[in-house]
Amino acid sequence: MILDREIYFPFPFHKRVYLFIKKFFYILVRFLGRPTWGRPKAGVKLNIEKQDLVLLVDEEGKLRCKTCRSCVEICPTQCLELSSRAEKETPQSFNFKPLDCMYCSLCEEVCPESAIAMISSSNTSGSYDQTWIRDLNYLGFREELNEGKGLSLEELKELRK
Amino acid sequence: MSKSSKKSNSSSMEKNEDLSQLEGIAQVANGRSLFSKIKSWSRSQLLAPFTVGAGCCAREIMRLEGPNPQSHFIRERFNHERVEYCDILIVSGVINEKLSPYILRVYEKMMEPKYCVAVGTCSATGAIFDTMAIDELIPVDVYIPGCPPSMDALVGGIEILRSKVAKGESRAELLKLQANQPPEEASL
Amino acid sequence: MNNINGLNTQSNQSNLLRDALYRRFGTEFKSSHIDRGAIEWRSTLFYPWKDNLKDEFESFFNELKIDFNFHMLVDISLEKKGHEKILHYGLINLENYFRLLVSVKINDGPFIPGLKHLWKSAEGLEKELEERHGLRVSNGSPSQQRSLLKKIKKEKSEKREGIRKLPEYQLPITPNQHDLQKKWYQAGPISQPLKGRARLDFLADTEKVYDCQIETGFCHRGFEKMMLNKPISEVSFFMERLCTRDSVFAPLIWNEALEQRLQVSVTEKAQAIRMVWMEMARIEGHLSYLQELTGELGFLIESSALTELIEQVYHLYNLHSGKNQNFSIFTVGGMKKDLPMGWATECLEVVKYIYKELESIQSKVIRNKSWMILTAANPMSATSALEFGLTGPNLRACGVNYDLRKRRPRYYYSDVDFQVPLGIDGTTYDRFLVRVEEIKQSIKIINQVLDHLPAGKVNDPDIDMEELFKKASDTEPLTYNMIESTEGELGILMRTKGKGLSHFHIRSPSYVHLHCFSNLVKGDSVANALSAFLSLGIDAWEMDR
Repeated sequence: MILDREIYFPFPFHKRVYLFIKKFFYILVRFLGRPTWGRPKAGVKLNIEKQDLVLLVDEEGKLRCKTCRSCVEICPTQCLELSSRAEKETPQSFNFKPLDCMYCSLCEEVCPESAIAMISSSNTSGSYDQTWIRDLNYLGFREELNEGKGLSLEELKELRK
Repeated sequence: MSKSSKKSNSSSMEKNEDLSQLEGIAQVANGRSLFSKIKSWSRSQLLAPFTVGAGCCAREIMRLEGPNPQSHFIRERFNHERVEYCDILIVSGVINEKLSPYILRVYEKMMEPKYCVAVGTCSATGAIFDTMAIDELIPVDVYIPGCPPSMDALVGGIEILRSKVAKGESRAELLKLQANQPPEEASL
Repeated sequence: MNNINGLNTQSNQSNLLRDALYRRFGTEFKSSHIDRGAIEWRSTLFYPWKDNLKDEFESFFNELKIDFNFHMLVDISLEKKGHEKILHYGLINLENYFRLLVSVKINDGPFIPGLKHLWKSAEGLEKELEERHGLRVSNGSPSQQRSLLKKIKKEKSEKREGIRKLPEYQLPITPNQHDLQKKWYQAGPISQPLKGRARLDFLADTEKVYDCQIETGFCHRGFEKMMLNKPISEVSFFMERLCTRDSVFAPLIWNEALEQRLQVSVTEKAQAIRMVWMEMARIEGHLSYLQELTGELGFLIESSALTELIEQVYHLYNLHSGKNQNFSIFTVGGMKKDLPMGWATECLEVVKYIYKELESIQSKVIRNKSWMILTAANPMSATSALEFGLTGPNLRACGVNYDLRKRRPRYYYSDVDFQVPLGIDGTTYDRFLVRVEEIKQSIKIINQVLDHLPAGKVNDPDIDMEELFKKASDTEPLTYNMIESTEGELGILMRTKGKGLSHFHIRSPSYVHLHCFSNLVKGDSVANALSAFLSLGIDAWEMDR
């Protein structure tokens, strides 16, 4: 479609005066009267995901992971490390580097026992003094997850609704 | 900090020279004068950042100014034009060998004391695309992981930076002081 | 003729052209069958390397341009198949809408004959070949600047001295004594309007610009080479991070190419949802373009009002998938997740709000005398635009009606009622107007699609990728896919080998649009040059992949 012919010519004089006065009131109303956030209305809960890694926990309180190493093989940036005494047991050490991770959540899709998940969290940033390798105690049992007891599958599903 | 204080207690002949160093270190760390404390506190209340990088994370940083419920916690402007008025360098995006001399030029022009923030994984450790990390060029103070990081993580990272500026601890100054120390003397 | 995914078949005129090509070139020309809506153009013309290849090469392409009217060169890529090297040229004829892919075998000689005298876009594309693969062109001069320098990670203990120095290269010879007032000025990569995209050098007086040189490569990551070593399941996560403006078009193109290769069909509901996502990404891209341009030229209130509208689109993305960038929602056969409850009504309200606010914002900018004075510079004619290979809204602002949504409609675009806006002169004002009108047409499309959403499932959970790869044909054909993204025509050319890739190439519109910049700028002032750079709509990460 070809656009209107009027658009290529400037406004006539009387309309320019009218628009100048209108812009003055527009500035006043926008910055003094109306809030800067017209939509959406307050109370809408945003469902932010994929900010931090978490190891899920049984009903008894033990980790669900059985060291099958499928998440280590599929990770595109190789930020996970596992080691265990024997197979089909909970791992001895589980290292995760948050500065290397891509937050693609392929490890969550691949895990056959749904032992690993990505949740939202707000304090992931830190200074250079910190250790930037998260170990097993931090991943499974930090303070925010039920005060040190860990997060289970059912609670995760309730959070995501 | 403990390293330098141990070395200064080694022999009595070097006490006078070490005192000036101790004073310099003490000013930075804890026992500072009142005037320097007021200076650094006022500097922390309105930061002056300069952003570098064109990528996915750069859009998230530009959103911090705009109409956003999380932006109520922040009052700074993130698109300054003049480098000479800025304190802080915020780096996001892929770093190349070709872009590094321009970044170093910008870093030298900034006001002292200098701070640096690395946003996202592409600049913190170049793990995704096998590129350089900003750590090899400039000493970094705060890391903000995420791809891209959420607004809560960004706001939290800037609060950590603000507390660091109020105390006056910057990694660049510590590295300078450590480099100027005399080497250890062999025992006779 | 088969009709898969709503793709239309060829028209009558292109059939005539196909017969004419077959008569001329004989068995060397093979056109693909219209088999499940596959690529409608393909010809394999293998040229063995001869001693006097240069004359035959030039006469062959001369004939293609003048007799058969292929007036746009779109893409050049090099493929290494074992010990052989093959060059692929992509050509378009716009009158009959026919596309041709010419493949030429090359020996290990140092030089290739260039095509700069026929198509002007060949200059930039051959420069890319020289820097990535080492193939030199006999017409041109070797490039002085190495534009691709990607540093692989090394240990921290190694010293780096070369980094501290600025690159040294020679600019062209300064003019003679009478032109002593002319100097070379530099706009660096980290200054404010450019923000790390490119470095511009202007040979300028105090009034005019006489010449311009561009240096790129500040965001090079080695994208295409990296994808050859990765398994196929991970490629879509990297394709999201190809472009900074939106993360919708690139993974969509990849999944559609896989569906073509493995012959998988998409469900009806997923087709409609994919259309909605494409139009929303287009709205977001155009709004950020408008925000940047109005902020640069001094209209700060309007640019801050536009940021509020962009937040609404992010709010919609957040409700569906939890993130507003780099969300992975496309798979082979549809989408990963279904729409949540109440998303459609929220989307219709947001779109209505955007329409109302945009009208009040645009009334202060369009037909404003100061805005028209600022943007009435840098015109571009239609013939030079076609020679430089422009596509998208930059081409439509010059008056050429070429939109891939109408020429090769997919999903339900042929059933939806919308129009394509055109400009007249090709100035920045026209490029601005075309994008404002396209936002309104996209809103119209979204309204129509969401009112008539089909029912059903969103993906097929019984798909097994390994079985599909075994069933697929063994000849390993080339697959090409193209889409109308926000700034132009985005294309992908690939060849699979077993479970990995053996050839991968992306046709990025930002790289092709960059090389018409020096033609735009000559004769105008320096301040207009910076706003002309922003008006082309160039994305940094898509340009130097």
